[in-house]
Amino acid sequence: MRPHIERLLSSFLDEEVTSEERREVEALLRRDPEVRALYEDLRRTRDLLRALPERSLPEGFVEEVLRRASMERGPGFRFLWTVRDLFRSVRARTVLVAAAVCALLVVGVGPLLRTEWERLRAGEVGVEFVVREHTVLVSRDPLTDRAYLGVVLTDTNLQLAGEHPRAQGQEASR
Amino acid sequence: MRRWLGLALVLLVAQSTPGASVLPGLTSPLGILKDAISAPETLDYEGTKVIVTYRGKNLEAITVAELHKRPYAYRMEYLSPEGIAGRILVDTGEESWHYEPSVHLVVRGPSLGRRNPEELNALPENYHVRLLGIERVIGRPAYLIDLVPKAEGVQRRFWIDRATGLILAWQESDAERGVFFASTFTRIAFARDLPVAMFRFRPPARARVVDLRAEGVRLVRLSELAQRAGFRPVAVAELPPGYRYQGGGISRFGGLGAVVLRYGDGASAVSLFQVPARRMAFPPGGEVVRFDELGARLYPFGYFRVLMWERGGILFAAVGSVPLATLAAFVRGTDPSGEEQRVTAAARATGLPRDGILLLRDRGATFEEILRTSADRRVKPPPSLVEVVERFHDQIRLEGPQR
Repeated sequence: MRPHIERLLSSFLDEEVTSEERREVEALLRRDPEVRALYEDLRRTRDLLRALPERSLPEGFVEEVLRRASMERGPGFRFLWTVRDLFRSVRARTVLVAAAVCALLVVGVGPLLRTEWERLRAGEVGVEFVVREHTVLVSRDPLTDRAYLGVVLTDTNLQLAGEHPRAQGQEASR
Repeated sequence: MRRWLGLALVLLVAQSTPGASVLPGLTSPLGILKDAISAPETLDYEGTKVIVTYRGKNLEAITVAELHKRPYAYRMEYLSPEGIAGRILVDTGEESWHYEPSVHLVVRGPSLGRRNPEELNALPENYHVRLLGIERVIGRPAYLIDLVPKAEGVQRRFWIDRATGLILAWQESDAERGVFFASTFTRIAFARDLPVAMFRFRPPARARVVDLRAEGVRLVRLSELAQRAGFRPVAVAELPPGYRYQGGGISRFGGLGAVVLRYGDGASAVSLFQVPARRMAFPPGGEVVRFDELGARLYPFGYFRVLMWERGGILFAAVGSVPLATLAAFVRGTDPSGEEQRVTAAARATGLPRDGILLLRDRGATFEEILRTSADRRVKPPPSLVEVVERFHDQIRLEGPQR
């Protein structure tokens, strides 16, 4: 029997043939008794295999195979295996899930916290900011004392530059 | 305490000759004042000045060695009180350099040296300008010019050197605070040409240098400001008597940008800052002040006052050295309720299209100004809407202040 016909019949039994191959097999079965006999043998063998009971692998077989494989495949594979081990522990799984939730919170809430921090920071220097800007604006006015505007400008400079300013007027009421 | 402040100035003004009300051959009091404003552009001098003003609830006396080189350069060396002793501010007329020796810090900032005498043009409308006589200040004859506001505001007195036109002393007072600012030279020497090197600055070795020159944008129309700022600023609907819109801009510090609208009456100025409340919190402290249902906070800063309030998601800050009533007018003027009805009413009263009213509001006009401008229009041949707007533009001097 030609190997091509055996492979074709096997595929036909597994229903893994194209429509053209199906037509070819059906034609062979009709006209060739030898092919028909071979087909019947193959079909019986398949039915026999299907009738056998399923046997499960010994416990830990897959893990052992993978562990041995990991020893050959390098640290990356071993890291994945360690993570998998961690998830097997209920306690470790809880910690990891909590960490993931925290990470999500940081990513999601972080910008909001940052915005609020910036808002409060702007408020901290808000008085100095507007007084300094006003000082620069009124310096164009004729009836302003340069020496005194200089005091105000330099006082606000210190605060805006992040230095501890000398005791300001409004701090008495802060 | 106020008496002490007044007395301090009186003691510094030596050998006065009050009552000299008739002074032949003089220009007008306003002319003397205008000449005094431009006098530093033609003079070099160095002197010692004493400034007395409020710091919080207490008075503070500041002594400074003031050196000036014409036209716009200054060098201030602060001598007292202890907290600022040793501080130096060099202003080249283009930029300023502040050196703080206690923290070995240099701050590069904007210039304070240039003045705009045109600002005085609105004075006669809002102030009585009088020459009270000639007095002697540090042995020099000086014109005493009195500036009295026609409405509630700040009264000023200037002692102007008769020989050079330089202001030798001045004081400011109002009904609320009495005399709250006094400044006088205790010594002055005029020089032909002070060395240029005194008005240059080189940061000391290893000093931390911070650049705070970041200048904002100067614009007039609120719609343009809104585009730049990312939010719609409120156009003030009512102003204190005599005040007019002088232009706006955007002030920046780091990532914070605030719209600032500038108002003045010829002598006093108020800057109105607006920033979305989500970007800036109320500064800590301050004294709570209530205006009807609205709570505001008042922060004194030297002789300036800052009034802050929040409305409609915007944090407002009005800054000036003016009576509290003047700042309070800005609180009332920024109430946006009824804006639509007032636009409609103004359109009906003036005969202008509604868009014309909105255009004027966009340029900072109050409803009172719109109605007044329209009344002026009625006694003349009716101009086009564009002419009305342009005339209004000129009237309220909408050129944005140049830094």
